[in-house]
Amino acid sequence: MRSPNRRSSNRWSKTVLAFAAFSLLPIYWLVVLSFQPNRASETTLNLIPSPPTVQHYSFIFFNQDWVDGYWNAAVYVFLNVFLTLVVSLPAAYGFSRFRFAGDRQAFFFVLVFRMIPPAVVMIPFFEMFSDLGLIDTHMAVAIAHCMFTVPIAIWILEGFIGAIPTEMEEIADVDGYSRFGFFLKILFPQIRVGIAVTAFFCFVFSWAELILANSLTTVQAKPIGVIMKIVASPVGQVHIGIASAASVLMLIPGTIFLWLLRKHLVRGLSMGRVA
Amino acid sequence: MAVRRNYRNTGWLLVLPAFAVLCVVGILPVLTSVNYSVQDSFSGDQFFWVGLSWYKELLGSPAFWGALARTLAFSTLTLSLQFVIGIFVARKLYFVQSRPELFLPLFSLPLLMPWIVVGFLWRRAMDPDIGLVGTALSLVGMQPDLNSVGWAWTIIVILDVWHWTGLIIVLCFAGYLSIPKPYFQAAQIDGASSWNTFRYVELPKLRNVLIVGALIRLADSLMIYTEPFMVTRGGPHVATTFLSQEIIQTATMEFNLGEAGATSTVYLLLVIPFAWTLYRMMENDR
Repeated sequence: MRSPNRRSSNRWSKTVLAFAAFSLLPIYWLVVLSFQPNRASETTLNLIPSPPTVQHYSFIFFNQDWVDGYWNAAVYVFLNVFLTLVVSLPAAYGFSRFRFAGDRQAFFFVLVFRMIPPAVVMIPFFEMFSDLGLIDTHMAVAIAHCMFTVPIAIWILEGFIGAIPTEMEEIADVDGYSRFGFFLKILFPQIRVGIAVTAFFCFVFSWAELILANSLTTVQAKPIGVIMKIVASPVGQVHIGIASAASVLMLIPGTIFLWLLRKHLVRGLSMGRVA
Repeated sequence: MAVRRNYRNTGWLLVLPAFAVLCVVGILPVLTSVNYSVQDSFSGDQFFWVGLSWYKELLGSPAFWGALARTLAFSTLTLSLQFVIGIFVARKLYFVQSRPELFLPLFSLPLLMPWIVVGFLWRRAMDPDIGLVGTALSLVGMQPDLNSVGWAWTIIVILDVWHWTGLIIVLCFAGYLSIPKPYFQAAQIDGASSWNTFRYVELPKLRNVLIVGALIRLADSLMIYTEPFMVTRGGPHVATTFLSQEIIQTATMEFNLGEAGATSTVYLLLVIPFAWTLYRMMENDR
């Protein structure tokens, strides 16, 4: 194996290319399915939509339920990201900068929540939010999703804050910044990449989760994924075209987000633990 | 870590809001679930104390042991594949491929897929007549068939490898970037074989990111539900029914909150030691 500092300018690894094909082909094929009529998708394997059609997309765009579903998912994910950042930023700062009684146990405790399956808390959440009269609201799903987004957020942010030297606080102190002023004017600008990466991960997990989103919503706050289940689940009446078009639409926000953060992906995915 | 941390219990004040939220969305529902596990319920609103009898029933139930064994087998299998393939591809990406950073967003694309989409896509893709992968397989004489236990498992394992290996690749690539170049030069001068360089130079440096990956992957693979549900609905028979599905079925189809609560409690008790071990390994590196 060659050493990396002698890497020539144009070398291709077969393994890397093969894995890239394995990763991307199914997604490409999903796009193909979304642009061709069902009678084509149900009879032959096409790698180019034939005949091409946008009927499935127009079905979704002109159907209020689907449009609302997309909007609902966007609303609760946005609420969730906001809530998560508000409580996680100070916590991550606390874990990163102070030692206090039981801090290691507390940090572990935070991680453990990431391991609780939605299946375990589904019924208790339903009871809880029923008592509060929050069933079928965006807020219910946003709060429920905090169970796994808050641990991820604290973890990632702690890594990013930990990479900033403590001298910064000392200088801010000398300059007469209050703690709040320091947070707002000095710390946030320094870790804005970390905040963006955190928001991205909260977005990914909250957008993908459907067990809780399904059980906590009925009509008003039902997300597009739950609506899609009707035409995608093997028990239902499967509609390949609409299900594929909805899938592609659900991929778009994440892809844009990913593209904007592509330079910080390495650091973000390693939870801020590697440069 | 170069950061100096002062001992100050005011740290707790900063952590408090997050803790309050986690108590409401974590501890409260888990305790409710534990509470169900020691009671029997009639028509959903009358509860009777039954002590540990649900646990006794659970430990004697083949359905529970089966689901537990399948879940552990699934996690072991998919994690092994993802880590072996992930490290291998990351290594090629780092040593051979030019402009490797361009591949990272591509490998991350499957991670963005909502889980329901992953299930839908792979059920279609494995169709032997019209599916992307299924037709390719039938060209070489294999017929993916959801009624066969072997194929059902193969499809779900490939699906999971497709969905998550990108995470391991990006993590390991990050690990490789953090290895100082002189390490490789030293290994080269010493005439270390490719394998020895990997074993004694690269692997120790990747340890950190591998633990992070193991923690995330272990959590998600043990709780897998949506993907197998969309592909096989847990079948044939119960061959791909994992613990999460077992819990949801017991609670919502058999309306047996007690047994579902007991299964949940046992699940959590099993997960905590795993998480603690990985956490300790991570802490030791800090």
